[in-house]
Amino acid sequence: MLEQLGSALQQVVAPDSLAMLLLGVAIGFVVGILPGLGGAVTLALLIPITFGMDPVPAFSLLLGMYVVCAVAGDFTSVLFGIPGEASAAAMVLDGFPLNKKGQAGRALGAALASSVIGAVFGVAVLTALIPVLSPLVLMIGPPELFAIGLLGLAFVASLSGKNMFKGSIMAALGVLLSLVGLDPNTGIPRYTFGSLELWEGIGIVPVVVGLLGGAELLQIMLDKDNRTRHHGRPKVGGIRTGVLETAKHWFLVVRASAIGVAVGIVPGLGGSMAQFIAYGHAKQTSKKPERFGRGAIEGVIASGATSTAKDGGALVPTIAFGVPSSVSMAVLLGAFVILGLDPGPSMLTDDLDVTLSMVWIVVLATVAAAALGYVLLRPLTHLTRVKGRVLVPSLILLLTLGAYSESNSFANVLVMLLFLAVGVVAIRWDWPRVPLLLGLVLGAILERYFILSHSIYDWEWLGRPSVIAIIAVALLLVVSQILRALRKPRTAVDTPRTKEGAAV
Amino acid sequence: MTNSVSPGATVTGTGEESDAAEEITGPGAPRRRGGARSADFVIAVALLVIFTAAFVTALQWQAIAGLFPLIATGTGIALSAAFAVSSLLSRERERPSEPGPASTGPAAGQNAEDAEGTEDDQADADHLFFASLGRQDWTVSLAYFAAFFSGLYVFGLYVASVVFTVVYLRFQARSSWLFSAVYAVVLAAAVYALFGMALELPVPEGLLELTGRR
Repeated sequence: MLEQLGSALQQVVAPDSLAMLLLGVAIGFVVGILPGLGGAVTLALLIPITFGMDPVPAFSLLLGMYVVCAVAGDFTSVLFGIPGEASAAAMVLDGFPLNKKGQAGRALGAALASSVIGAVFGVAVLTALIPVLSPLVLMIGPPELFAIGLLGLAFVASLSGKNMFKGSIMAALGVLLSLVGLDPNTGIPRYTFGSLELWEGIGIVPVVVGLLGGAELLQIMLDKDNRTRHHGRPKVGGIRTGVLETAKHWFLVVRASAIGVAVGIVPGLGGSMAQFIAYGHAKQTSKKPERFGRGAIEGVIASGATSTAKDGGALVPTIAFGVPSSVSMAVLLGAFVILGLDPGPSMLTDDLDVTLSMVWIVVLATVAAAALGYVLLRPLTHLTRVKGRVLVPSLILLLTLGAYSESNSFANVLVMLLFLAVGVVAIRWDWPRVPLLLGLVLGAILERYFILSHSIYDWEWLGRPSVIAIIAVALLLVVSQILRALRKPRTAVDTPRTKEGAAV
Repeated sequence: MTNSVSPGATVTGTGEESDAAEEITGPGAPRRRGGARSADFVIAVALLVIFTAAFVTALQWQAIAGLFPLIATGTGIALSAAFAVSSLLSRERERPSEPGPASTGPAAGQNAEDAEGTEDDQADADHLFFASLGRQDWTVSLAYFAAFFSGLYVFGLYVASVVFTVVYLRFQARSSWLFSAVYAVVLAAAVYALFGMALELPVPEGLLELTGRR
């Protein structure tokens, strides 16, 4: 295996592959910084360019670009409070508050360092799993996938702090929104109100852009005294502090990376869910969970590590079984066929060199993105010194394009505006926003595996030991949160909003 | 949306978030909390109506299409109904103690850890920020917002962004005419170079299709 790894590295650092990798890194950096224009869309746009290329240079471009999107997305999350990528949404929760305190450098230092470690961890797991892939993936069926989805929703409790009740309602609302569109099984339009635009459902991008970014934009517009932005020089000198803090929290990096890989490996769950599970885990295990949502460096580290580690996991079922674990992997799967590769067992035997080259591409692209980010960190953090209202035209344009680009439809802009209003109401009246996003992402996945399980096993699947075990863990999470809340003195729980429980 | 923060708990607008956060625990805090409970109740009832309507709609679909929606909306109904009742009960419990001094001042029920949280509480600052805004703040910003998106719908992205950028920067950000104009042109050119030329992605054309290419 070591010899084959060495051979794969030689192929990746060959001039044509390296040039494609650097091009991919550059494109990925720009795409990652632009909110809404996701890695999946850009992958689709780049595939025609790879016609006629050898597999390794082609994947250097495609995979290099895709991996860097997640790293670069952290920049917009931290600097502007707008997730550049859906998979960087959790970074907003603590990265942006740190920026508002003048610690953008510290946050980005931690984000970059944890991203690099997460990427290395992810592909290390991929490499280690290659010999044992088949039995591992075959063990997981639709009932277990449904239970894992439920586990994701259970994390809503830990994400919402003392607002657990509100968080659960918002998650249910998110699930309801995920049902909008044509029913995948019968073709019946559900909750579409006769509108053709709603047949394809409500996209995650306009909702993320409106709910998180739009509310932030409106806040800047309303802020005539620059009250919501920090004053003085941004502390870019904190980059090293952020890196050192990542090293200090090495065990959290490992755990968050492991969560990223584990969730990434499961078909259908994807990166958006992985980051929130890792974030919820970091909050639950923190000695000061009340700081999460207000600028906890552990939140940044967990989100950063997961954002890249998930890619290593996501490649596992895509390569080994031709089962894409996310939309982006589904697009990447198209590239396999175009390049004459057959996803499946042959990728672990005849084309093992291509598989192992992907390991190096992920590592090298992440390191290159971190280096580029380090160089650009200073000029980018200086953007935070600009008077808030001067940024408004750029931000309003990015939000509009982000929402519009998902399906090139003005209806998505209207969806973005609707969720902007929801976001403002949520902030104003202290209703957490993230559970709604989580419900929206998980709703379709939950329904798919629920119907599949029901069709195959009727209701018997609910008695499967693995399903019972996963649901028990979900219940344990909820119960532990309730007990945690009950253990707090009555006065602390009832004290006004300013004492604890940041709405995320 | 109007400011419901009581006189004793208004945000001063000095940019000192910790001060603002502490002020909310002042004499007006119980009243604010009562207002928040009312809002929670109204929002919970609104969501209850939405979940119920969705549940009733799902009853009309054939089993395989309606099964999961029924479970999801049924859960939503149970949660929002329970929360509405709990908000209502909390309001009733708080009413008699409203003028009481028990929760006034930062010391009431606040341990050292909480005090640390208060200083850093950015989420609260956002919450208080929106609570502190007056009618005029909302009117002006929403008017700009509405103007941009109406312009986008009618004239397309480029015209709307150039006009909005110049007018907004000049009159809201108090930038010079020259800066506003250069900013608008550079921004539009950057979008055209990236979306129109490099990525060849369409941008909103508007009813008049002034954007040109697709």
